[in-house]
Amino acid sequence: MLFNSIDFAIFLPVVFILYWFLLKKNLKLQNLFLLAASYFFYGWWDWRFLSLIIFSTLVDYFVGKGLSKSDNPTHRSILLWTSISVNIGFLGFFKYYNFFLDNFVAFFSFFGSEISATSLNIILPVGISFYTFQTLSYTIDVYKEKLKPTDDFIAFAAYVSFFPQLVAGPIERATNLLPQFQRQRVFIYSDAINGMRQILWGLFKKIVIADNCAVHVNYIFGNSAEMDGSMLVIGALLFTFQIYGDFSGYSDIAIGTARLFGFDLMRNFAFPYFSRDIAEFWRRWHISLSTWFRDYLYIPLGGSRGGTSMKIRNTFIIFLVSGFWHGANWTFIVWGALNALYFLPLLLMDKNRRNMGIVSRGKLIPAVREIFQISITFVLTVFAWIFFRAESIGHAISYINGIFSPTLFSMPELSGMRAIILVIIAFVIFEWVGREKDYALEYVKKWDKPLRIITYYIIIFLIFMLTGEQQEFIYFQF
Amino acid sequence: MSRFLYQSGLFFLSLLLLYYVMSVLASKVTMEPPENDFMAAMIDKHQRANEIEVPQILIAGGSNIAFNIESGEVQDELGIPVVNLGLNIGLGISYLTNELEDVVNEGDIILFFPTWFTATEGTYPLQKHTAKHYPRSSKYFNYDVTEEINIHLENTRTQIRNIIVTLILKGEFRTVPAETPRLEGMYTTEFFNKFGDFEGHHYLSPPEDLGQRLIYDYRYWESIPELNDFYARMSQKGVYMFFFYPAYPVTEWERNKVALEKLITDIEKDLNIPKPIGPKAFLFPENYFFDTVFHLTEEGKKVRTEKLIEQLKENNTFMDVIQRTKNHNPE
Repeated sequence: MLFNSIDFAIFLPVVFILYWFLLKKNLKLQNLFLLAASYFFYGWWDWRFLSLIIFSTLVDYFVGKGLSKSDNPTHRSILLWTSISVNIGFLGFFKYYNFFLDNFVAFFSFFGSEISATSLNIILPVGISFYTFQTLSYTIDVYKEKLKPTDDFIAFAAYVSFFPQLVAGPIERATNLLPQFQRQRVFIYSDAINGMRQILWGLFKKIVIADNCAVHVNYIFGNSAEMDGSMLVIGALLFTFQIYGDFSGYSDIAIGTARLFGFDLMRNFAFPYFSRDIAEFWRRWHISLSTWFRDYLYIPLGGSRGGTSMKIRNTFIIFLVSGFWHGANWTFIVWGALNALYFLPLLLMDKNRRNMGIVSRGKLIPAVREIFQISITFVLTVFAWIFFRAESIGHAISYINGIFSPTLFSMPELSGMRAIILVIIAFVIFEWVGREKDYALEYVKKWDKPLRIITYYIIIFLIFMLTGEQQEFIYFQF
Repeated sequence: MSRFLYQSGLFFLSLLLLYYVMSVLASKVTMEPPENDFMAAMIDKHQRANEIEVPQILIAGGSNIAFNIESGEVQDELGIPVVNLGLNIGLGISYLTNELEDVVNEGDIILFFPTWFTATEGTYPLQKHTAKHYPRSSKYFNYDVTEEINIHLENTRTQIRNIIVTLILKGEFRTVPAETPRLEGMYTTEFFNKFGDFEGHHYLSPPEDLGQRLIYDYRYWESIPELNDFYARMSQKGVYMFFFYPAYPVTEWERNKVALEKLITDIEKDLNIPKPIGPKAFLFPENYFFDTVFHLTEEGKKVRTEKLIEQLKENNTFMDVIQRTKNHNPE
């Protein structure tokens, strides 16, 4: 079920009313209801793949219980690796089987050996990359004794499949979300209003920004060979806003929806395009995934504590794995490698933590130096997104070659794009003004009620009038 | 909680009221689609199919077949009456098979021409639009409440946009037809010949570039099982059926080679419908195409029809079927 669909517009109020009115006094029933609603939400897409979630949930629940009963390091290690193997095994099969097979065949063909192998018609289950990481975080935290395993299967299953963030995150940690399933939730008016507002902002980002950019991006990337360099730059810029609007929009809707049910999900985006360097960008973009890799991969590998070679190795590992997590295509791996290259100089010069706060806090206009830093970071990011969006490495390279051609300085053909460009400019200004908040629209909270309500009407009117062709959320495919 | 419900209820109610006002305004300025709309050609096509009392050849597909075949030539060369049912591939495979089931009779021959990866379910607004002209076609697809709401929203949005842009920004006003406003200009019923072939493009010069240059991602074509079921039903009914690959520019083939070769492997392996002509027989240079990569020019259509007839005549299985059908047909 898509957040930007009529189905969800019916589903959400029905679940909300039943949850708070019929079941508010019984925590177990509330959790059971949330679990059923989440399975319904997922099954609406394809009920067959519910079995994967249920199996993964069962494995991690019993592994958790097993870990709590055992002090034997070998036994505990076997249990941990059982969970890792099952979860990564599912992910590997559904997401990477054909990629490895094709590359294996290509590798041997390169050396003259012809291998016959048949690709499988595998459908990638929506959200598999998200919920497998979420269940893994539980088992690893229990293994490391950071978290006590739960006996409440319903609460655990609801944590794994919680519908607002099931298919595209934020990837929650058991330490944050699971306890929220185990305590009585209270309806708080201001939280619910805040949740509604965040949902509205998420819908605006998705429907107005992302979906309208998508039409032009698909056309420009699909016909890149015939495009002028200036148009290719426009295509890359529009994709930069498309992916931000799409993914951060999803996260806003997820966080807002969870708030309606009394849950507090982690922040996933913190105005990443206002970052002053790449290290700051990665603290602000897809925060739940970056911190997941930091905690469960980077730090166990030694993090940045070792010598220079270890720092370089660990940085590359984390960025390459992060790239590969996004999809079974070399383009994502190159995207990851490129970000590692951007990040490494900062790490090696020990400057990766120099921009920790909010840029130009309390000021409307940033300093010239900050404008320069933000611009450089933005350009590097846009360049990397070309690999992320391209169909293949060859496509990305020809796209970049096309940019750096004499036609780079030709006048781009902007007819049909003017409206979305104007909206993007207004959007960036609004995001800048609201950057000290959790999400930009939260800024209106301090306004007088009539002005606030008028703003909501205007945003809804814009969503209605500027609805683009409905697109799936990009991150569903990951 | 009650405060939240009361306030949000009031807010949504006010939104509904605003929407109602906008939709009333929109309905006042909505123009009904013209009677000679492209999709209205289905009426004449079905009429011809129903009038022919002997076994006939039914050519099915989308605009790729409305534009791309000289049915008169096929009829003359094979000696069996031909009806070209092709209109728009956006109707979907299920729709086309339901439509065929409605018009087909024992002994008929179906020549089925989908495009690459044609969707099974098709586009609801287009199906609905067609039903406005030809109410009988509403049984070829399932009623969908969500889609109905979407159509209503889209129509209101289009009209309000139109009001804002033309009346407020340009100081003039004109109404636009509801739904599928792209089917305008040459796309009208007048340009179909008696067989159901579209000839509107014969009188126009092609636009500068071809539309629908898509990059296909490979996936298993979900319509294969559906088509197999349909083929089994048709065989039981005593109807013959043959599957054909689309006419396509060589350049686009090269761009999509990886995905299309995998698709063809699946079709050859899993689709039970006989395929008398290979997948690359109708790959042509770009100058044979008119406005999209699926629509041939008049010259392209001529070449394609000649090639089709020539290759069909070389196919014994197909010619056996033609012979048997001819034996059924009194002169």
